[in-house]
Amino acid sequence: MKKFFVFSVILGLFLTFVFAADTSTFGVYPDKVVIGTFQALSGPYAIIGQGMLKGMKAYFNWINDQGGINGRKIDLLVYDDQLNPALTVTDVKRMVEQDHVFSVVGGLGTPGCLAVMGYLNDNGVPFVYQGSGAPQLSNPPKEYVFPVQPNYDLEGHLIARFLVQNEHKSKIAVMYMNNDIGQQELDGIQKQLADFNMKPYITIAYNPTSADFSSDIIKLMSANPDSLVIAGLITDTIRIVTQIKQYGLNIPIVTIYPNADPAFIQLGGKAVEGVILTGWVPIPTKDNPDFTAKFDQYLKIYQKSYPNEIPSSYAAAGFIAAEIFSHALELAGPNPTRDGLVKALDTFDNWNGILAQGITFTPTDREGKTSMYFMKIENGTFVPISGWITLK
Amino acid sequence: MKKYLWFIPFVLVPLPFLGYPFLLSIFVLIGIYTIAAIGMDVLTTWAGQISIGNAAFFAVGAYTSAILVVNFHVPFLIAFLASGLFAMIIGIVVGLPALRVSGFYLAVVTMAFGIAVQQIIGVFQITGGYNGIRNIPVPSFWIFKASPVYQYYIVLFIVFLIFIVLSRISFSKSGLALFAMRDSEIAARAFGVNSLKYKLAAFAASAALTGLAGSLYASAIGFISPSQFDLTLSLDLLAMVIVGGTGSVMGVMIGAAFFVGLPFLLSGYNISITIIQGVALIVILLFLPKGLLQIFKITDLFKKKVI
Repeated sequence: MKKFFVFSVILGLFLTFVFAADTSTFGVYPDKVVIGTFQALSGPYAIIGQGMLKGMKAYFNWINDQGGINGRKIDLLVYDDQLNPALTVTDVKRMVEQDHVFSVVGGLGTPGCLAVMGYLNDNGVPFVYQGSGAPQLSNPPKEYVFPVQPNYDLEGHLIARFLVQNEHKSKIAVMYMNNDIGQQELDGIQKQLADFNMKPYITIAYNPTSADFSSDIIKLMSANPDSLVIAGLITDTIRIVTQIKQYGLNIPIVTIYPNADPAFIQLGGKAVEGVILTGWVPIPTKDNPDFTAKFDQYLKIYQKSYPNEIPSSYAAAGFIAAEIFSHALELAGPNPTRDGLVKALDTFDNWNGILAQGITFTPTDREGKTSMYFMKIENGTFVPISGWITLK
Repeated sequence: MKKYLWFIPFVLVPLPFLGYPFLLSIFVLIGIYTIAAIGMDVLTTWAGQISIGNAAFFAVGAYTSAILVVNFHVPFLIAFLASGLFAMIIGIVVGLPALRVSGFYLAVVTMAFGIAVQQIIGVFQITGGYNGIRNIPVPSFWIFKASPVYQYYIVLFIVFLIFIVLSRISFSKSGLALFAMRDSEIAARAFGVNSLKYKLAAFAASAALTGLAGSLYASAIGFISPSQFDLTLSLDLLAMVIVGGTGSVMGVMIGAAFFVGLPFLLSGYNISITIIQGVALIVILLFLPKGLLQIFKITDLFKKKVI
């Protein structure tokens, strides 16, 4: 009986500890607005989550230093879900039901975003910016869900169109990661090629965690395509490109926007010279002085919070998430409500912030960013080789 | 009757949390992982076998249940039982050849099986491929509407049932035969124990329990995709048993709480969960070789019941 008592006391203490974390009531206070985000801050995807969070924090710090928005500072609650949807679900429930966040901004990861989008929409909590290009987020449009990143299906379409119309290629090979991102890119490419009465010359699914791609590359070489799309992430794409060059295959290679990060050039070195990438976050170039000024402003804001650090492209994503939310909150007026925020977001018409460029939302169109451009790696830098391209 | 006393506090747990359904959903998850970890415990502690592919049975259960409920509108109870049954059948099919080897070899075979199932699920249309299945409804039954409180009691009831069944088996002839085989297979065979039969039974029971847990998981999270059932999950299940304390439902529950509850408690503090979990694992293995259950000093009370 004594042991039973001891056990009950310990259980009670555990539960009290859980309770102690409680900060209830509304998301909008006289002096602050509480919002939440979920990021992979530990585990294998920490490099993405840490970067994205830095971008968000840098922007919100800057806003808060200026006194916040309509007199309210932005208080960002961060939960580490390790990109595990089981954790995302409980963390998001905690944000909504206990922390009473006003909105969820910039959640990272396809599985987590898909797992909570229905819950947030049903509960009327605006979900602004997802670190994911899953087409299910934008299609069909959902009242409270605002995707920004281009989706992988759309990107597949654009890549296929670019190769056929601009580069006049007809034997397009596709190597794709054997996961949802790779599959969605392949779907997009196949659909677009079907419009041209074509299909991929050869498709090769690969395991993104393997280190040696020689058998895949031999298969590729024996098919002899005239161009190659690699739908992979940074580590595996660099490995494949390097091995292809070692085997002496010299064809144009196109890869996807998650790779458009300075680290890609840093890690890939000479091997990634000439690789073509898509991008949706503009890069500063000499022929685009307006944006160069904005990019400098971004660097300044970022380095105010993280001195002497060069932001990654994940930080840029976080920064854009924070920009879009902050602008919408400003538009929502001195007494913001969740529905007011939704209405404000739906007025975005080709809106340009600092990094965020060309963002549009309407109640029936939640595609977010639908335009992308192509760039090529030349002498260790990204050089744009096309203007903005859309499907419409 | 005294041996069931420890369940009373768990029955009372939801009362202070009725206004905090998200906390209850943490308890629901702990319960679900407890069931899966009991499955692992049956295999390792009872039968002395090892598996680092149990995530596959978890996935089979989750997908069976989700497909039946979402695509065929089967009542949850039937889908739940079917997922256990289907996982068990697959367990037997895999166990038959796999159990001819043991130790490291068995570990590698089960690992390969786990990875294969994850890949296979990704290929089929009916499983939603790599995108998985979304909007899996939470079961509602009679006057009980879909709510975390209701889910909590369902899971608690199932854990309780499993506890009763397992404690009965552990005192039966089959239980004794299993333990004998675990301690010395040669000696057990000399006494006429059919070792393959018992190993297979343990493997099937383990698969069935893990499958049932998978079914509950699918409805609790509402979204499943192949990436959730990777090698990490298999290793976590094994670690839960070791961290909590082998051979008792209570120990396994503590292990599940450690792996599910700890990330939840720490996720808001911007400290690396993986580092804390890793350090805690090492400390526990060094100083509490019998698992966290040792802290409670009640090992003797609960351990006797099951084994």
